[in-house]
Amino acid sequence: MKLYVIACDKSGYPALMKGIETGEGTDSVLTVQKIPCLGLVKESLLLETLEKEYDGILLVGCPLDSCYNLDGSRFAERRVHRVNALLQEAGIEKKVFLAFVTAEKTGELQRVLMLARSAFNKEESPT
Amino acid sequence: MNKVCVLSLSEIPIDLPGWVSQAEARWNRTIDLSLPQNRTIALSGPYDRVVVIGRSLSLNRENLSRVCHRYHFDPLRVHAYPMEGLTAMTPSQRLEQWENDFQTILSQPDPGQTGEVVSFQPEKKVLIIAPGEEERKAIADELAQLGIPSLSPTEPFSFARQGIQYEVMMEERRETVGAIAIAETNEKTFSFSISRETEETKKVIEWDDFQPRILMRSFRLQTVVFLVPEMVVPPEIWKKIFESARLLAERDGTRVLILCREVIVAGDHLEKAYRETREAGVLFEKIDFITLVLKPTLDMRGAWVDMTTERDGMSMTLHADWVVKVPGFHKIPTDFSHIFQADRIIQTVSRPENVNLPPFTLPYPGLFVIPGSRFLSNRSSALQEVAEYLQREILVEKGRALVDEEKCVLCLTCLRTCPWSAIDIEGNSRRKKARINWEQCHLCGLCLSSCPADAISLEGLTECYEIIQQ
Repeated sequence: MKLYVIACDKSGYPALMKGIETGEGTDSVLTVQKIPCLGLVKESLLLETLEKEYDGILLVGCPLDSCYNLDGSRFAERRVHRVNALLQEAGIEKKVFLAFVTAEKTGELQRVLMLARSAFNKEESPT
Repeated sequence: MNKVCVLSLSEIPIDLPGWVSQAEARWNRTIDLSLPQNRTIALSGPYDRVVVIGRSLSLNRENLSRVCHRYHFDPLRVHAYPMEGLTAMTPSQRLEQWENDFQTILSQPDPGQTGEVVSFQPEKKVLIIAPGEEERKAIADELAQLGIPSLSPTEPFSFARQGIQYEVMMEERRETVGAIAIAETNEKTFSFSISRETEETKKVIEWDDFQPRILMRSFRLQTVVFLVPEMVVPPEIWKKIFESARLLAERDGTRVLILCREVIVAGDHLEKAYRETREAGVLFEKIDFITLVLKPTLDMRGAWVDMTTERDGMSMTLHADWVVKVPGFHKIPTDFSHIFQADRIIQTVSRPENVNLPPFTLPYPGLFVIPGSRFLSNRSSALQEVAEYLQREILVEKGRALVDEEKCVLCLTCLRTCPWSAIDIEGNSRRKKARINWEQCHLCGLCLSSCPADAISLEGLTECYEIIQQ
């Protein structure tokens, strides 16, 4: 599974790097992009990235209620829902995942990665 | 300009001094190295590229701005390199990975413009907005003790943001202040509704009426239930509740039950009083007030209290001889519509429950909410926060966020979207466009992603931080 990870500067990136350092469930991470806030991610960026060889995109950022830029995570959630709906409608088996973490608590990140892995395994299985 | 600087914020697991000499020859660049152990070496810029290595937690934008300001780096040419990815590798793998990434950084296109990190120090003066003269004076006195002059405006007045500061416009003069302290106003509230039949027993009584009765009569072997349905109850009231409940329990052997959402004891020297009250036999129960039902007894001499405890979800009924209504406080937001001059109408400024923001601050830097006089213990910490803000140096990056004049269609989407209210409109009556105030901009990029005309660009914030994990 090839994942493109977009992480926010404040929470997502430190959490992700901590996960990479300890090797906890981040073996599927391929490319990491650091951005100031998840609210910066446009639908077009997500779709263009999915056109490349990646199986999916993972957005990692601050929790909804404590986004440093107040509305950034809310914007990202709305856009991810829209892109996932588009992909489903078009019958494309790629997906965008969203994980809200804090710099110290990486449990949610591992849960979402596990979810992503199981989603792709299901799609790849012959049944 | 073919100079590169490699600056490490912490010890890294690569032999950089050994690597530099061969790297300089290989890439035909002059590489200046700054490690934690040889920080005294003067860095002589300007540099074509700067690579800052460190732990990812320390590579946030604020920290990088600080580094840029200290060493006079151009922020558009700074690349952050996290070292976490290297730690799990063997030394040779590490070097290989580092060289690959370094090559990637060198091959990045030149930004084509220059950026700058500017340092600001807000004016050491605070505007106080308080409902009463007494409260305003109390805040001003406390600020004076901290060595900060304050400004009490003469009505009518209004204020507007001027970069990181605020300009206060009064009838006869204008003044610039670095911060604004808004005293919170509170009103008494008791949100739990009690049925009329129960009220008619005359055994449901207000806290203010109940207090004098404690000293005037005996409550021997009776049951008194205190209802505290509000979350915000001042520590002074809690202190009096503890004292009264303990007195009742110890003097008259009264069964006292305190039903509340939350008992506030920490930080207000109330721990001891709380412990002693519990030791005297007073029961505290945290309940969800939705489940609480009060019914009068048949003889109308008391009330039946039906409730479900939060602790174990057990429902229970008990007979109360007295039910005491303890009020809490509800914050009234300050009306900003007339006094805050901004492009976007700001009706009220409510405090966001966001752990990332410093306590007492609002989403506008320099605006602070000072808890009202009933929360004396919190007020000094809030004012301390104001003092710290005024002493802090504020670093702002110039030349990152830009609006393309040709593309801007003046739809005002960015103005509505910006969480920091850093965007306003400039231009004459024939041609107007959005303008990003770089002093106020936090470079979050929310406006960029929302702009339907694609007129806003952020230089070098998304492209340069890419790393590859194998």
